[in-house]
Amino acid sequence: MDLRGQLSLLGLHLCLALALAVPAATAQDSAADPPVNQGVRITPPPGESGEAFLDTQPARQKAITPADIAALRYYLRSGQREKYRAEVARLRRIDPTWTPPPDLGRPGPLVDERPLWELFSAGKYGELRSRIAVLKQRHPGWEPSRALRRQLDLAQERRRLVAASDNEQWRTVIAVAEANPELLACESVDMTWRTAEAYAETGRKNAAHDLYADILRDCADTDARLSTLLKADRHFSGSRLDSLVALERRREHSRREQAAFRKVLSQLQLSRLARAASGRGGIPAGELKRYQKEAQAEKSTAKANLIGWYYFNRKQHETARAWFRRSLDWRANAEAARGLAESYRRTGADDKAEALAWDWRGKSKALRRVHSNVARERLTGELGGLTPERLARYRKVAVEEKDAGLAGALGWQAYNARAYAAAAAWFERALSWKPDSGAAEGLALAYFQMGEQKKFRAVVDEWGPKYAAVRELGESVGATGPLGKAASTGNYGRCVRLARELRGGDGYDAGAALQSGWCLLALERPTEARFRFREAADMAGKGNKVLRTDAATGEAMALLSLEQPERAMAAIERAEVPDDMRRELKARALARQAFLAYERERYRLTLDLIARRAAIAPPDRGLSMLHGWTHYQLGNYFDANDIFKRLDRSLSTEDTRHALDAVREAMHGNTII
Amino acid sequence: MARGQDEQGGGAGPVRTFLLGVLGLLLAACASGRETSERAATRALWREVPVSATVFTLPDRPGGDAAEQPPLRALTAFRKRYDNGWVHRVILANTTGVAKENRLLAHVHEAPAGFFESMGRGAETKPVPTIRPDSEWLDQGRRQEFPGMRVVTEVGTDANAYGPYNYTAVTNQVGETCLLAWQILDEDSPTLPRSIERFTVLFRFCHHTAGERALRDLFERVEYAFVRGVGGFGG
Repeated sequence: MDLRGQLSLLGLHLCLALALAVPAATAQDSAADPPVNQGVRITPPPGESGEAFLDTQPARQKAITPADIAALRYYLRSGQREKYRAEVARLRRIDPTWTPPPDLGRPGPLVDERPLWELFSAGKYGELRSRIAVLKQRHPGWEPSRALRRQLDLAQERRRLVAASDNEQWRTVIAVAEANPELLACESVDMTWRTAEAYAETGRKNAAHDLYADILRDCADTDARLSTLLKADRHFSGSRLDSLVALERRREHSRREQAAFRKVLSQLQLSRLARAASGRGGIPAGELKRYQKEAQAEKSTAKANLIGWYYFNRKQHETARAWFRRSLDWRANAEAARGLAESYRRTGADDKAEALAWDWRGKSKALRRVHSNVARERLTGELGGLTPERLARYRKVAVEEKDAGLAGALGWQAYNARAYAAAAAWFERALSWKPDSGAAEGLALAYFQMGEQKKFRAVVDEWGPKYAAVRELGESVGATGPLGKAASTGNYGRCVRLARELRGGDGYDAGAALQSGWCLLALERPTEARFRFREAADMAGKGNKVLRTDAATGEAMALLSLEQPERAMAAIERAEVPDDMRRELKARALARQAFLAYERERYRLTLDLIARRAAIAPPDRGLSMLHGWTHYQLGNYFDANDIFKRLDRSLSTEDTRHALDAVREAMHGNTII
Repeated sequence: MARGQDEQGGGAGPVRTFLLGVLGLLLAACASGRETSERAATRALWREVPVSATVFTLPDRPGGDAAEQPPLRALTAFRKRYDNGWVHRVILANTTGVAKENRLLAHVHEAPAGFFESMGRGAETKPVPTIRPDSEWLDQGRRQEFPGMRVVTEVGTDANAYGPYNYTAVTNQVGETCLLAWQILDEDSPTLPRSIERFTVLFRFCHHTAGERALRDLFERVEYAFVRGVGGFGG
């Protein structure tokens, strides 16, 4: 080596010493706590650039330092074979016994991986990956060890498998497991269970069975093996389950393990009974008899309840009731009470079921549900016996337990009683506790009946996107779009103009036609309204009953406005309108017919029409006046006098006084004759 | 029929003439009574009829500047019988957002068919409504038909094929224009047949783009069918 070369080498040593003589790590970086300055960057030897930067002689080196090794690694990795050999020779001069480390050509160990493994153990995979990225940037050419990389990949795959399993994405579970067989190890038996479950759920029962068998054969952990039998019980029964149990039987067990195994076997037996009890699979008669004997002997409420459900699901409700009763006698337990209450319900003893469920309501959610179901059926009229006391109790229970279903039923009960404000309050409660389509629809209808158009629209806007029934209601009662908005603010002219612009386009549907009809009716344009209602009914098709009903109602009202009461009556009869609406429309039609009959001097017909109307609607003052005049025209002066007198007593007007004068005059005249 | 009997009276001897006269009067009285009863049975009911069964004939297509004139499309028509005539109502398409229906309305007062009928006119219980236009009627009509709209023509006068008519025009904030035109033909009008004593037409029409002139052109192109026995005349 020439002088220039020696100086260069010397410069390199100094530079490396300066750069690498960082406390603790020397040539190592701390992955867990990286220095602020990038101290481990390897600076190329200055000599390479030809710069003579130092002319002082360093002190003689007495030992090989990590900096020497780092320099050596640099030469080797950068392919500077000459310099590498020169450096090896120099170091051997310092220590003749020294040989270059065998892993000198491999990357690292510039980075201490221990902190990285700690992150891995803590499951902080995200942090670990970002730390690796930082280190790779800081140490070009550095890669984490193969073991760390693989474990990191496996951890990610494990997470994928668990997530897919939790979401019942069975095919993904299988794909991940088959691509990473290392996941299915005794150390991570949960992965194997999940994979076996995925096989079973996708119909690959043999593959599932094999995995369970692998665990039972290969894994040393007894708890894991016994748990495997319980897992397998969910998918297998009979001989296939027996074959897995046989694998465990063959093993040597300690006393503790024997006890645990016996317990598992007992659980498997009960599981079989439970499966049969829930109607999934059968059970031999002899075995059932054995369970019954055991239940009696042990006074086992668990077995008695299962036997009760076994008979319940086979509609042998009397036998079921006996077993639940027995279980309850042995020990008070909510499961037996629930079985007994449900059995009462199936045998028509709803009062007993309700009383039992009421007594147990504080101890069992299921029994609260039974009580709620009975209450709901009473409120909707499916069951009789809705007394004021019961109604008061149901109201209390609904509020205390925030029972949305019961609140909804109370809403409908109030709605049917035409207490619309109360109905709206119950539906609102139901929606705030647990939203459902029925309550949303009920709330919209209640507001509609109250004439609260804005509130009705608000309900449709809020719940329509979620529930089709509410959406259809909104369409049937009026378009929720610009037409509906115009109508809801009373701007019927704008509504009609918008409909004209929409017609023929995509935005013009049955709901828009219907809304347009209502707007036209509000603008006293019944002829056009009638066409729009017909159009809406045609566009709605048979599927949208609500809209068709509304369109028929609209058409009947338009015909009434056009003084076509007979045709209106026919339209009402044709349409499947609700009874109360049918009654109201019929009453209006009959009243109109009566007036027209009077004008045509058809007085007997007028009386008949008034009588028919009186049968379905409360009296109307105008019609009562007509009634009086009709009797007058027929010469029934006493009847006319009675009617006019009654009207005059309730509210004396010029009309009633004039009518009474006319009757008196007619009666006086008759008396003279 | 009653008038027909009246017209066949002359040309015989005095006795025969007298007997025929008495018979004729009796027949006329019977016919008149039967007709009155029939009218009572059907009056007060608006009967939906084809437009062709009314007194009106609508123009097939716009005339003049077609771009200016909207079509006059009938949606349906109604007739109502009164003791002394009819009311015909044709509902017309309406492209605006203005309340109330676009329509043509005719009040047809029939002339008494003969002596007895004219004698009995005083007993009419349900006569055809008689419109007597004055400023009060106009104000009320505008308020009812065009609430909130601005008057652009207070009262105008023009003429169609049947004689002079009057009109008023209004508009609203969105530029829709409405016309209310009325025409009364009576015994002074040369176009009115003898069978009709008085004939009143009301034309109420709104359109979203057409102006007053175009609406009046529409009205002027409407024809009246003054033929007895067609479109409900004569029972």
